[in-house]
Amino acid sequence: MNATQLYDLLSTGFVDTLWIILGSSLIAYGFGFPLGVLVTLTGKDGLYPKPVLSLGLNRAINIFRSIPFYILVVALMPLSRFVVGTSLGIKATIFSLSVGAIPFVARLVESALLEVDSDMIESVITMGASKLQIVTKVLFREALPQLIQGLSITMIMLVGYSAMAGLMGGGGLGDIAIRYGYYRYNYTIMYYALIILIILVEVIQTSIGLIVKHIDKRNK
Amino acid sequence: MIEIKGLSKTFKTANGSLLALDNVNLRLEAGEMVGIIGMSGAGKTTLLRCLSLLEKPDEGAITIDGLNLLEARDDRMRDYRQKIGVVFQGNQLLKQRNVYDNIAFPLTLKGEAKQNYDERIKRLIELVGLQGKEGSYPSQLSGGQKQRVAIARALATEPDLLLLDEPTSALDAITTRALLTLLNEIHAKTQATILIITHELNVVERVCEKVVVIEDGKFIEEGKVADVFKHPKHRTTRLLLGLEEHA
Repeated sequence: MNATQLYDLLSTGFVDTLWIILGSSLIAYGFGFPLGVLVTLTGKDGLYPKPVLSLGLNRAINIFRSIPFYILVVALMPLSRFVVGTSLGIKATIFSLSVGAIPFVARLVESALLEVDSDMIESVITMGASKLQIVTKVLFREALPQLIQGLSITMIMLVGYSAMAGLMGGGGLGDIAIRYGYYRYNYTIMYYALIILIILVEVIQTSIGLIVKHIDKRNK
Repeated sequence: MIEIKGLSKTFKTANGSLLALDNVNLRLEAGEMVGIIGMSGAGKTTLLRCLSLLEKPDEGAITIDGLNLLEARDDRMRDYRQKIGVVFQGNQLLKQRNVYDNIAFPLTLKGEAKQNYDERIKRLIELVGLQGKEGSYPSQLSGGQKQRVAIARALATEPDLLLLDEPTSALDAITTRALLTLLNEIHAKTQATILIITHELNVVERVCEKVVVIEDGKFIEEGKVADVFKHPKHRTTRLLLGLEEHA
């Protein structure tokens, strides 16, 4: 393999990995964020306590979170064929990563929102805030740094899981590292793929870290 | 005029029920500054939570100009709540909002446009002496400054009653004196009716006209500060004043 072929291979893998991370984060947050808010609000000390719903949601989240990711991907394969038309490649990977990350995102969102001081919420109630205002103007606003921090944690977790999905021909850099490094003993390509993954994680961590530092007003 | 009539509150606990407030009555004339003093566990916090409408008393009424706040329907609750401004112990400022936005917060809840309240907020910032700090965040302020923001915020809706819970308990002696001076100034300028709940004698002595002593959920002694402190009738009052030692 010459340098141009190597470059093409790795750049395609990189772009695929980016799509996988962005696509699955977006979908995981699309479902996981509302789920996390719902779990927080319907909890025992939430603004809208609903014991039965809360119990059901917590059970479902825990069950999904206790399934090892690799097994979840295999289990989701038939469903993936039905929903996105294939059980291989980027689309299938985005599907299974999104589903796997939804309960994780829900817990991250829940823990960020629970960190908002309950005394602060009471003081806002005495000012005449409605429940909706408490959610949007107090909970979301006060927890914003932790919520964005959670996005960084999710994306980095997805980088790792996307590499695991590579084991099943899921596309992206993980797929390349396994196909060339593990099956064909081409360690050079594997290490290139790994270095790119490391840099990707570093860039995600640092850039989101800077955003959080900028918007968090607690330690100025 | 604000009237608290026959207020009672019982809590169910593991060891039976606890009568936290026992038929409490108080009349506040408009513009009065009154202190409620008592030892911990006397019912101060329950009284504060009832007055700030966070806790529903079992019995009694809280009326402002003849209007019973406890009979508020849900859709009027916001207006009722905004008749009482509360400064909580530990001030509870919003940490991700600056001084200006914290003080304006109760007004933004009403959906008022900024041009309608901008002048009022600027006046309040001046009143509490925080000019130049409008853009600062709570983490950049000292304890005394935070308490000033909390007071300005409680005054933003021009409430009929300003309620302060242990306003000086977290402050050092010098900051406490400055805050009490500020309370006197605010009282003189705004003629607000102010109720201070505290366990500190010097707070009552420095700023209040009237004092009420609370023990075991009952008001056991009340009157002009000078009279009560000079001729305390009840033993608990004498204990609080240090005129008698605990047996």
